[in-house]
Amino acid sequence: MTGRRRFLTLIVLGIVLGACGGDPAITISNAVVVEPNGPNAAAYLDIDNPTEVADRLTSVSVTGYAAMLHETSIAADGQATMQPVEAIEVRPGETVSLRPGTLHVMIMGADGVAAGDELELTFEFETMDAVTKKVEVMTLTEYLAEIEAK
Amino acid sequence: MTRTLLLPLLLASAVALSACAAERTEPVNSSRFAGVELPEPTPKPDFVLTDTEGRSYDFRPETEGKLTLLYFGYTACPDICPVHLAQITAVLDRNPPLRQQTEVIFVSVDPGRDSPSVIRDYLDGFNEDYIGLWGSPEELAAAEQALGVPPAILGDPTDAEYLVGHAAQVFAWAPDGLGYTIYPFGTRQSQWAQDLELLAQIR
Repeated sequence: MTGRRRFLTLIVLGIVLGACGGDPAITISNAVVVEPNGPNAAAYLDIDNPTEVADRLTSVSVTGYAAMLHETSIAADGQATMQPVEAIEVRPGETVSLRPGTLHVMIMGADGVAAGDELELTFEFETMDAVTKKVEVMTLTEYLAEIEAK
Repeated sequence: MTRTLLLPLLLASAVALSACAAERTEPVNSSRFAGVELPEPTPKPDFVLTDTEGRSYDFRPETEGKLTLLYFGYTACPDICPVHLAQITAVLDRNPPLRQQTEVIFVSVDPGRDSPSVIRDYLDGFNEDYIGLWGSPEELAAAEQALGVPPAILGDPTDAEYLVGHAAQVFAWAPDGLGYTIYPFGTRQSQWAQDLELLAQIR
């Protein structure tokens, strides 16, 4: 390879790698839908915001099902309540985890959903573009074993 | 002080202690139990509900001599209710002799949606031997009062996703008929395994 061709190759490579890197963006990871025993399923996940700007997750939709953001709260007297949440704020540099007993996505009328299925979840943010992900359904036992091992 | 008054007070103290423990940064636990130990062992409460076969279930005599776990919940709850039951089920599935000695009881606080057959289907997803109980609002309130937990909150039943609030802890009684511990949400399988073995030996 001549010096000129090598130079051009390096420039093209640089452009391609630069495009791959892009600006940091909010990502959804560790997303799981838990197979329900009752009519409603829960989805748990992490929302990671590596940017320098706060954003808010305003809704999650699930293809074929109604869904809403929910939060379980446990009061000092041991009383637990579960209520809809308008939005979840994700501050710059923060990861918000949706886990059992706290924030979660409630998927309604999901009693036919079984481990091994895949559901399509779309996450709408106040500022950032929506993110759509295919999310695996697993049994609650498998999921709990996974999070207990961490 | 009568036993009726003493039990709720002791349980309320234990719930408050568990809340304090959750706020500590350094775990301080001299108890032999991994769960929240009650200030003193408490007798089983008296209450009567109905099981999923329609039979009257008188809690104290029905569970006599058995390691007994009881949880208030509802089948439409996708979060803490199935997690508690799945944690207990995972531990018992790994220890069949312990499973044989343990009665797991789920009391529905949502009679509007949880018919006996709905409760049965729900529990069968965990274990067909688990006992599902239900009752009128008055019977349920009596059971909650006997256990010293706040009454369940039920929202507007005409709203398909109405609010339900209920006690989040699991109650446990050893085969000797006394309660030594309660288990707040977040109890890990290793903690359940340790305590169920211990409790099963208290006769």
